[in-house]
Amino acid sequence: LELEAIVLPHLDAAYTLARYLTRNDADAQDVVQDAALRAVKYAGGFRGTTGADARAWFLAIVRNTAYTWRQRQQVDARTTEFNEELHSEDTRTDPTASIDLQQALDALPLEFREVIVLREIEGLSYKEISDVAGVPVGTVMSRLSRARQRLQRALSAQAEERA
Amino acid sequence: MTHPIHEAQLDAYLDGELEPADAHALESHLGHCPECTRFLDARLALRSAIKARVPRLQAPPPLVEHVRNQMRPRRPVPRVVWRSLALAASLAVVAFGGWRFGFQRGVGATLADEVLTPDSSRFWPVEGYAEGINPPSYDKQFVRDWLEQVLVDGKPWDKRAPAPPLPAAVVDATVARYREALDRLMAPD
Repeated sequence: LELEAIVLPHLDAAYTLARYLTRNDADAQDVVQDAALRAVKYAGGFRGTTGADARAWFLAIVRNTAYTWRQRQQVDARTTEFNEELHSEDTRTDPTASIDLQQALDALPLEFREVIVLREIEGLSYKEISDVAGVPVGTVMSRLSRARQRLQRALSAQAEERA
Repeated sequence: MTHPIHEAQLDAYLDGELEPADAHALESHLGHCPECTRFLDARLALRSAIKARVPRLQAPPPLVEHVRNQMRPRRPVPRVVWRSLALAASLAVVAFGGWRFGFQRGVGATLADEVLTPDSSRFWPVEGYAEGINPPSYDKQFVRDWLEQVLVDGKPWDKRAPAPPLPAAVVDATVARYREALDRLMAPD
C-alpha cells in the first residue's frame, strides 16, 4: 500500500480518536498532523496488506501521539495553576451533577476512553484494539467492560434524575 | 457477581468476540439466568445510547488538505520543529530578562538580538526528531559538544576560563548551522 492509501482513508477515524482523547478540536488537529508526519517517517515499518491493517497501524500512531501530547500537557500543567475541573478524570466527586453521556465519556481515564472509541465508534476487533493500544487482548476485554460499566452508571444516574 | 459468568465475558459475547464453544455455553446459561439477561439488555441500551449521542466525527477539511500535502511525494521540504516548552522557557527568559531590561534601559537592540535566535530557542530538524533522544540541533550545542571532548594539555578542559580557542573549522561549522536554522525557519512552506 502507498502511504496515501494507508493514511488518507482513515483521517476521519484518526480525527475522531484524537478528538475524544484530547477533548478539544485544536489539539486533535495538531495530534493528527503530527501523527501524519510520523506516518511518513515510519512508513517503512508498515507490514500490513489490507485497509484494516492500515487503519490499525495509523490509529496506533495517532494514539501514541495523543499520549505524548498528554504528557506534555501534564508538564505544562505542573508549571501553571492546576485546573481541577479541566483535569478531572472522574466525575464521582459530584454525584448530583447532570451528566451527559458524552461528558461521562470525557471524564473516563484515557485508557478507558480509547477502548470505547475504538470499539463502539470505529468497530475495531479486540485484537486490533490490542495492537493499537499496545496491551494484551485480555486487558482490552476487561478495560472495555469496566469502561462500559462506568458509562452505564452515568446513564442510569441521568435517567433517575429525569424520573 | 456471585456467578460463573464474568461481566467481561458477557461483553465479549455481545461484541462477537467469544470462541464459538464459549458462546454456546453462555447461551445455554442465559436461558435460565435473568440476571445475565438484564445485564445484556442494559448493555444493549448503552450501545444504542452511545450510537445516538457519541458521534463519529469528520476530519475538518483544512486538516485533510494539510495532511494530503504532507503525503504528497516531493522533494523533502526543509522543516524545523521546536520544543514548545523550550520555546516558552526561552521566551520567558527573554521577556523577563531581555525585554524588561531593554525597555527599562531603552536598549531595544537587546530584544532584536535575542528573540527566536538559536541562542535563546532551540531548534531541531524534524527528520531527526524523536521523543527521548538528543538529535543534531541548530544551536550552540555543537560548540558545547566540541568543548566536551577537547583536550587541554592532554586532559579534558576543566570548564574554567579561559576556554581553549575554537578552531576555525568549528567556528565555520557553527556559523553554517545558525545560517541553516535561519534559512529553514524563513523558508516559505
